[in-house]
Amino acid sequence: MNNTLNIRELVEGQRGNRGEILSRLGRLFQEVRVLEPQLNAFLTVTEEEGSAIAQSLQEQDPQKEPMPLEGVPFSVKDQIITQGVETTCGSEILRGFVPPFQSTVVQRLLGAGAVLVGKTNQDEFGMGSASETSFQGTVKNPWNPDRVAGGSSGGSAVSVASGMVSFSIGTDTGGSIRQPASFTGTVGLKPTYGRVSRYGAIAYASSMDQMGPMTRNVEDAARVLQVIAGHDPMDATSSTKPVPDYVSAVSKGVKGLKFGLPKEYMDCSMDAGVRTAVEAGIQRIKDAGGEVVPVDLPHTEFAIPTYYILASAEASSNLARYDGVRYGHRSSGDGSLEDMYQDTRTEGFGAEVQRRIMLGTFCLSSGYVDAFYVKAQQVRTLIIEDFKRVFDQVDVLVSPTVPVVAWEHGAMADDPLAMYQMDVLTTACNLAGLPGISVPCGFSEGLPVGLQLMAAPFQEELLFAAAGAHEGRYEERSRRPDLHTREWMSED
Amino acid sequence: MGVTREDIEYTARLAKLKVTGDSADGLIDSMAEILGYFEKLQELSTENVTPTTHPETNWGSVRSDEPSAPLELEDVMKNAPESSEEHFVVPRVL
Amino acid sequence: MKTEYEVVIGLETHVQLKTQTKLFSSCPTQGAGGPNTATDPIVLGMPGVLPTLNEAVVEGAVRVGLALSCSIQRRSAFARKHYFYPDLPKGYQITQDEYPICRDGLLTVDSRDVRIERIHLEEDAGKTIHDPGRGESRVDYNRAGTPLIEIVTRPDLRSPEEAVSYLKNLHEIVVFLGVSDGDMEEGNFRFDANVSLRPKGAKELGTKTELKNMNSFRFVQRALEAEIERHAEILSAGGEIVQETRTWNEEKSRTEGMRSKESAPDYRYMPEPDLSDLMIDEDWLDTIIESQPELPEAKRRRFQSDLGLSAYDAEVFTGSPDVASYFEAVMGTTKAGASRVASWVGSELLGLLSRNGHSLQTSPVTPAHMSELLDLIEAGTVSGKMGKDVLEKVLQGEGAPGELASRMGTQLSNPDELRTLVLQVLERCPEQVNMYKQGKTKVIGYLMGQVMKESRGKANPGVTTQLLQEELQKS
Repeated sequence: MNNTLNIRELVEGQRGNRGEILSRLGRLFQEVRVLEPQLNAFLTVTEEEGSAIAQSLQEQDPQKEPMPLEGVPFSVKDQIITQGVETTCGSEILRGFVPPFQSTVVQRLLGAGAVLVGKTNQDEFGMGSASETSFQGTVKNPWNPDRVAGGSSGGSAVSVASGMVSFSIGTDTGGSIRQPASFTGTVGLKPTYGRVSRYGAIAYASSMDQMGPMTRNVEDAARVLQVIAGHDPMDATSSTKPVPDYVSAVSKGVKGLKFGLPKEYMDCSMDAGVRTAVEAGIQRIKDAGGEVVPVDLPHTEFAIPTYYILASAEASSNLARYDGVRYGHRSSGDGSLEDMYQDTRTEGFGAEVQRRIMLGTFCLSSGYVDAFYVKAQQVRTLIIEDFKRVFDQVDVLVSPTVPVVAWEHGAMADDPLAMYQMDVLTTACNLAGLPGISVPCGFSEGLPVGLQLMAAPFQEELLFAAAGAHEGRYEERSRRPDLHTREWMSED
Repeated sequence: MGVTREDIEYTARLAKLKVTGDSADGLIDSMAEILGYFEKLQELSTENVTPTTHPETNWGSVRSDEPSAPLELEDVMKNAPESSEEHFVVPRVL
Repeated sequence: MKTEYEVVIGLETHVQLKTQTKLFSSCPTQGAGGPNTATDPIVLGMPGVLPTLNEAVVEGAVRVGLALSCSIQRRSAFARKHYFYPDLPKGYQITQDEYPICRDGLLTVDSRDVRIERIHLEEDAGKTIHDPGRGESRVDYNRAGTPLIEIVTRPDLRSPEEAVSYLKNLHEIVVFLGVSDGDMEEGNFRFDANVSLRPKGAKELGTKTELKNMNSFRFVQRALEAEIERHAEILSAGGEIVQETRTWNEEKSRTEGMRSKESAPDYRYMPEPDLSDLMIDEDWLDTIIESQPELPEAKRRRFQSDLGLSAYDAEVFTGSPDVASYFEAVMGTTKAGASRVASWVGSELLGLLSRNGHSLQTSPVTPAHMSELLDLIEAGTVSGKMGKDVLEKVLQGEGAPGELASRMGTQLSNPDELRTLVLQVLERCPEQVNMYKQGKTKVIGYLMGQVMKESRGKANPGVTTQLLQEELQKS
């Protein structure tokens, strides 16, 4: 079954053996049909498109060298444009929107022979930490159906954790790849800002958004990044820096690498079980030969308000285009244009999205822009300087990804501010545009705990080396959620 | 932070969102709470600190003036909520 | 009434740049024709798209900045200006706010120094067509994303005439630079005016009103005159000017306030996060400076001082970039002098072209042809009269001047041959010779006519006249 093989094995399996891919895929879609009602990870399952891709792969010359991701099944968060396939960001306002163009990342993946299985469920427009706010409702955590999968890339994380796909592409603006990876025991990478093209990533906060791979092991993530990274002329913020060999970095080891443990991250209040698991993770790194020292990120406590002011402001701007004129939902009724605008947007956007648009609009409005928006931009500079200083002393930062394990459905729904505070360990990474990865390092209350590693811009190789070294010593790296128990199968 | 009903209504007008009656109350409260939390930034002195718009990226890249194919009219109109053959149709402006 | 007040006018001009592609996407600026045929996902503001900056637009803006003696900013930045309207696809316009591409320029017009406050880049919106009958509006995005430069003056103009003069000058500059077609009907060149009055000698500015919707030089003059009159009436009666935006109603010959319920809109300007700052380095700037076309004013001065053209002719030959480059092309290759070139291109050619429905661009008579013809005339091989015929034939595509002239028979200029003819004519016309000797020198015209008849029109008139005079003196 494809969920026991890693990407290298799947691709190798294609060599001289292309005849089986359609049947393998058929079984995969069957599995999806069985699991999906209990997980709710997908908004769209692309059986037709996926089968067409598999068909064309099957027809290739059997002696031809396999492509880097040939025959590998993947999913894409519905925040990301897929040509010819409905793309909604989990929002009513984009229901029925079928893009006439392709995102660069998906184009590269299809060009590498990967097979699209579906578009995944998420928090609406990427705004949330639990994947509860789409029009299709909550994504279930495969480790425990009563718990959230994390967000906003919850569906992506679950499609990987449950074995339905080998990898998923999520988006991360304040932690939305890393946090669900932590909650679901998967690997989630947010690349350096500018490392991966944003063309086709529907914008939430343009100066922080990045797309990245979510996988079941570190090498798979490196293989996916290898394909999607690199300059794109369609994205003026994408970097022209050359793309190094990420795959070989995974086995480089950590001898001679210096790891920083940010005092402020370790001092924040966290579940005891999380602390234990993270400390075990840090110990593995030491055992592998990494030197771990304490460091300071003095402006950490200001990261959340800075992030939420800037992200909301940018979101209020990026979401202004959803007005019912050219695509998506439009309210019915005979009112004026003004009525149409207000009704369309009020009907089409969920409560959290409306709240953030309001906050963002407020922070940009005259009279408040200096005190909120400009001030936050200045604090962002201070946060970036914190990291620059720290990366003069160490190579990689290590910390928990989230202070807690997955909470119960609806536990945070009524307290947006409490939910925002949960992002304390992930948001600074986006503000500074750094690469960050979450890897499974243990369990607490039967739920996964993630270890977060961050590096200086464009140093993803160091992250892969550290993550690879940790994984090599992580006894439970092959532990998978058990989905075929009675608990799951008899779910009402 | 003192967020008034007027502030909410003004902001909603700018954002083209409807905030009526009960929902306005809830929104005023949560926005007041969150904005109060945002005010935490005032604790920091930022005199002479340059604001950051985005992390350093590919500076000053430009594109040459070579045309690509425009989108076919059919694809332009395909997602339109309301259209005539060649135009997007919207309710009267005023 | 008006003499106690000083008029203060500032102008904002939007110039559409004629590049191949739009400002932020490689969508062509010209569609196949028909609405919504010049758009792409970026122009339509679809989810997930990103802007990329067109280098030809930057170049165009820098050219205008150089022509207006501006300080070209080595670093400028883009910003989003937010408002909702159907023809604004993203719900914001990408423009430049605090960091425009050019600052602090100057254009001197009719001895008035008009300071240019700034020039900046921004994208145009689409078009909304209102259909009140059906209670709806229709939107066409062909124009959306087209590159614009906005040129803003300081309030240095002091009369409607000066304002029109400034606009005409600016118009000529952008057309000569080749950055815009300047077609006001097509909306390539649009302007708004800010006008206020203040007591003569006062330092403070009065309250201003903004005038929009004047799309010709004539309208802007009339609108300004009417608005100044309106301000003067209000102020003289002790009233106050309401700061507002007004439009010009040509039919009613007056300005009207626009119905707007809101006060100044809150655009929530935000730095554009999808574009890095625009950096113009010395190399790029040098390349642009080196290839900067000569401006019309400088060209006129050069035509007069270096080529000796009259002021009138200098105007004629800077009337458009086409006529200037045609004239200069001919000047560059012909042996004829500037005044002969001017008279042949200005009077003969242009007249001939327009009678036959041609423009200089479509002219079958190339500068090379013109040069060839003028050389033949200069050498005396072809007479002026014959030259006109040759020109006509070249226009009809019958061949090049040289070969046509040989076919038609060239002018007879050889003095010996002509002298023979002259002597023959004088022998045949003793009466006229006598009349000449008696002082009726006008009879030389008749004798000239006879020589022409004998030579079948080929006698060189200049040489013939000279020879006739010589022989008549002798006899």
